[in-house]
Amino acid sequence: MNYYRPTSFTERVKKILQLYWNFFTRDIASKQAIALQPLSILMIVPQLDRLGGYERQALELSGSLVQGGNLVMIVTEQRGKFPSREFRNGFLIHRLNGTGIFFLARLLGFLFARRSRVHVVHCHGVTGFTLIASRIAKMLVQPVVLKAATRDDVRSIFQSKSVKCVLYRSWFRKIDRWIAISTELKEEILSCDIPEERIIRIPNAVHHEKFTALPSEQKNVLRAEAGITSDQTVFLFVGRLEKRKGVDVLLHAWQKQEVGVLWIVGAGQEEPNLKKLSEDLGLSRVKFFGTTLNPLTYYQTADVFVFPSLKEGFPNVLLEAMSCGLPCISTEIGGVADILKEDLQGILVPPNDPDRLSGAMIRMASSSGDRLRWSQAAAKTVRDQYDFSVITGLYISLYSGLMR
Amino acid sequence: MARILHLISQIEQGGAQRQLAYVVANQKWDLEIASLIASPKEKLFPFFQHTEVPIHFLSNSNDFYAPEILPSLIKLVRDREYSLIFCWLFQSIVQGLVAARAVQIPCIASPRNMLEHLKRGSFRKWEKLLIRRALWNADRILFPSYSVAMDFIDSGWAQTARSRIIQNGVDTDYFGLSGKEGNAIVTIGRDAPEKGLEDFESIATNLRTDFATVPFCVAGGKKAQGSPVELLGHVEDVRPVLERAMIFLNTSIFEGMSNAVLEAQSMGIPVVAKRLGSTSEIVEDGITGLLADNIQDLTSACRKLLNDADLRKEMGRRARERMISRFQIAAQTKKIEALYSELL
Repeated sequence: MNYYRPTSFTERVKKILQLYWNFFTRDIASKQAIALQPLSILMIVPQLDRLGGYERQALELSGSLVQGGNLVMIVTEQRGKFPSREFRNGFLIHRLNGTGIFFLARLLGFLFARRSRVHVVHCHGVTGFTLIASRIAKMLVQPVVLKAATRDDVRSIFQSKSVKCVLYRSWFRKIDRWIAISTELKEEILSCDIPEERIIRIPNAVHHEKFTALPSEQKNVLRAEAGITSDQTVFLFVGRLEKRKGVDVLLHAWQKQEVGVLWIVGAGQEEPNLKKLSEDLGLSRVKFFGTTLNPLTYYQTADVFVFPSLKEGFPNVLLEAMSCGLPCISTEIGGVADILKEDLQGILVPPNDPDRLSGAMIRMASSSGDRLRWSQAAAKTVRDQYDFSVITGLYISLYSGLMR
Repeated sequence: MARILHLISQIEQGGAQRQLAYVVANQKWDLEIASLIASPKEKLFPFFQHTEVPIHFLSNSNDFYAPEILPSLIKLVRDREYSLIFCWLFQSIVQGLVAARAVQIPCIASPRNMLEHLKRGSFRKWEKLLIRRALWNADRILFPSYSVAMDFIDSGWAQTARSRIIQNGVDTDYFGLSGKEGNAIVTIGRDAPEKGLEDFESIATNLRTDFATVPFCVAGGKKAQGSPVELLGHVEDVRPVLERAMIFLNTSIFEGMSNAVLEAQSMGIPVVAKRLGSTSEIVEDGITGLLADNIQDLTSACRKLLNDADLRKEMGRRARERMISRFQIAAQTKKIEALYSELL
């Protein structure tokens, strides 16, 4: 390589000026730099620290995106005494303080300062916060993705006559992509005048390598610890104990014939009522475990998962149970229909029907051949379609498609 | 083939020096090393005492900004006809970039620690300003972890388009399984406030009451008597120390990307560490180790592991598997080579 060496005085001056100029402006192969740069994603998650279903999905997705070589930043509201800037699993969490107009000003400043460092803005949930944030982000020329995770959120804004909702509705058109987690939600968004090419169905995901079935020896050890004999079938329900989860229907069905042991994991406002109902019905083989942060052991010990819910956006617990290789009995409602097919991974029953539910449980308890077949199919479905590696791939291709 | 200059502030000890040694040992490119300040041969990092790669010293004084450094660096770059300068650590970035611009060759800057290190350390104000300008203008910025990258990009110190992240790697063959489990709780870190050795000592005092026979060792810190822990001082090779370990405890306050944690995990030792961004990238909480926020939680995490031999074994196995699948030095070096070819 031959370097250029200045000879005369004027050349020398020119060279110094050029050097100075280069120091501030030069970028070697800048086109390539842009093509190969890491994707930088801003997640907007209201109330991250509540750690409900979709907050946890957002955190897991962020971690998974970082593992795939992308940069992720999360911005959320400060609710409690959490650090305002926190690094976790390779991504950065910002918690913004303040309420009302002060919060808005802070959000505006935050997004403005980062407008050139962020490639895609991904909002989780349809709330005032995410809609305002998406509008600001759109103003700063960034593609915006909005994930609708609960039923009737979009429709209630669309049908409401209040000034706020009319304003929000006018911003619906600005959002580049709507993510519907189930077919039912997709139809709901479609009915709110949003063109179909802007709606994508990407379901929630689960870590299959974490939620996985144990080999039979280890499972037997767990069962022995829990005091279960080998001929007993353990039916498991996991979820918040609320009216819409239909646990009372499950207890009524259980009363018809107790075909094993029924475990109910979770807490909620209905807990005392359900315990009382269980006593009134004279049920002996029902056990309430209360709430838990890590339901994995329950999935690994149980034989069948029962899900009597009446209304559901996207049942993450059902996915976790299937990932652990549990054959499932579920009510045939929106959200479930995408994941669970009749006689493929389990049995579907109509909602609010104790007779059919009881019949399904008897069938599960008696036919171990079917159970094995459904169990294998359930684990395979999750591994092929709902594992985080698959879903993260879908998100990455969505983001990079929008950047172009 | 293009010749590449790796510029570093000093090559005596530290995490970046260890990574540089790995890179030099594993790479097929024509490499040379330049250090801003001179060190006597016996003080050099062990790898560089024996390597055949040429090492240039740019100054004899102890000052990273000695006036003779920049002219001699530019002269070196002209004479040896390098086609790329790779600057390690904060101190070398400014002079490396100026030299690269003077002869119009590309420059990669690689800060190895969080921004907090720059803010808390003994850096002068003008120095920080220069480093900031240089980072912003470098052709590529190579970060050792996603947390460091996010930190610099979020604070406006680096451009996203020019940032690349290649996580630190570890030589999983050299740091292999030792075959038997040690009996000590070990940490590695030089005697600096950000390594949190006081926290390590107070955890040791807390655990002493229940586990009187478990020794606590610190390698790399100062040598002293009368401390609740065993201070081994500076060690050339950390492997024998890690072989004594039952649990590796990391109490650093901030960390760009901890080599010690990588090496411990590669040897199948379960890790208990403060929940920092970069540490949570390499340690999976509850799977390959335990992460905690404060001294009480760290102590109870240690207690949990000390009482459960099966959990230690399982975590150690998972940790080594993860190091082999994701943090092999050979794979990371390939990525660095791809970065060269991106610029040349």
